[in-house]
Amino acid sequence: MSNEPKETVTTKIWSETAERDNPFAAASCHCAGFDVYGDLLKNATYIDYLYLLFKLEPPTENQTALLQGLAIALANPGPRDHSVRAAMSSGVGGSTHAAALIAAISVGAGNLGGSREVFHAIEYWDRCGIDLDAWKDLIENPPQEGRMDVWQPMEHPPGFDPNGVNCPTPVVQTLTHLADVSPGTAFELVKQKSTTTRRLYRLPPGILWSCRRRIL
Amino acid sequence: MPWSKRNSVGENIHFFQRASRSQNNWSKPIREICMTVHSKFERYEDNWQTSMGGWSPEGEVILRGKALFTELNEKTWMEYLLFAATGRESPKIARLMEAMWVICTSFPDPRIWNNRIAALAGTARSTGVLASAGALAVTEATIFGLKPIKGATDFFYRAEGRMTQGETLEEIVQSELKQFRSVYGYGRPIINKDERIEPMMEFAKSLGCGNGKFIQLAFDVERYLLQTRLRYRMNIAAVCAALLADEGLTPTEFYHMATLAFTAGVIPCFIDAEDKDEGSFFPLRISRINSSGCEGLRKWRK
Repeated sequence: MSNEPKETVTTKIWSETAERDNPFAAASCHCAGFDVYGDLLKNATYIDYLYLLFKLEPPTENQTALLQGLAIALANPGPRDHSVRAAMSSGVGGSTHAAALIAAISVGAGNLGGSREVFHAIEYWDRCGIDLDAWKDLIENPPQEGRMDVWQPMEHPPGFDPNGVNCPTPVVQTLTHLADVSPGTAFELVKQKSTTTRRLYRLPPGILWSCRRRIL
Repeated sequence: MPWSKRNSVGENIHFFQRASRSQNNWSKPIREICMTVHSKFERYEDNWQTSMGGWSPEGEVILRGKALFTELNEKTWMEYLLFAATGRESPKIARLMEAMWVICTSFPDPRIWNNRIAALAGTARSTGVLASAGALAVTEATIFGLKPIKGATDFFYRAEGRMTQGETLEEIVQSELKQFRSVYGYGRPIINKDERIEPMMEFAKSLGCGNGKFIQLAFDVERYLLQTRLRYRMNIAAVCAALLADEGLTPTEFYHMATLAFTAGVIPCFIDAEDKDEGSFFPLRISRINSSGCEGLRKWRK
């Protein structure tokens, strides 16, 4: 073994102390300063801990309620959904459970109803906020990619279902619930302007349009 | 040669020589996208129209209009992959691509990011396929792998087009740097010089490649960048991209062809770690964590 300084993993998320008899085993683990096994384990909910892991601060009560509702709304889109069908295709052939998860995440990462669409939708929110004219302008003149990427360009305005006819009831129910528990203005825009917005863009809003501001 | 087959759950595949991708209707007038049916999905139910190919229970397999067992059966795997991914039939491009896979993409070193995934999977006693799936997914990276491969090809096509319009090489590279702060295919993490360029070019020349306009452009860009304060050298992504652009491959075609290129480096790293003691691949002691900004103790509200 050399005495050269060893490379370290620098992190703002996590700190550990070692067991006295084993430098490779943790005696305590702290996440953003909170004792994970001595405090969070007993006192935090999973949703709170999830928020903490990403934001390094505890969520407010409103944020917890929003994230809790969103988690339930998105947890299982049902057996017709592309990502769930991917998982079922994995299961039916007897693949590993991890393969089902990889399959579902791979499909559910896309521009159509997936995490990449959420990414683009949040970009739109950042640029437009609650300015409806700004939304109209951005949707009619979507950003042009300067160079090719492994992601294909969006083929529809992010947050709107290009194959929808009207806003499905579960989406309306989710929007209504999230608007009820949100103290912010973004959901009010979705709620009040929903009909106008749909007419304006000729598309029904998808659930992704709502996955935003007061949460993160 | 259209054919249609129905499987046991009623899904139809209609095979045609040509099927155009449906146009996106983002900007179409509302009367065009308002269907008389309840959803435009209704016409797609159990109805997949394709010119790509398929299998029939009678034992017929078609790929891009050719019968696998009688017309494609003597191709090498790389020729078959090239035909599958691009529709091209070229033993020369397939051989060039194969050399790229051997020389450029599969170093069996577990410290390389994608290979490390496989080694970690091996040391954690996961499966070989999960190791490869994770490693290949990671290969779609920004500073190595698939993004530079696709991005460098795209850059050369854009640069060549702009030069045809009268722009100088300097203007094109500078605008690329200004807009994106990088030029795919130039610069390399850890070391600047790329040891793969010389053997790759040597092999390419043995096939009669390596003299086209795109590879000339690739070296011209390097010469220009070396004069700037960045002193970026060309890396192998630019060389492979330019060689294949000279053979007519598009960025997307090269991207698809490169998807599995890294497997020969990934698999030995998994095997090596699986053969050794559980958990023995570069273990980290607690003192190797450098916690920054989260040292203070906090109490969770109940």
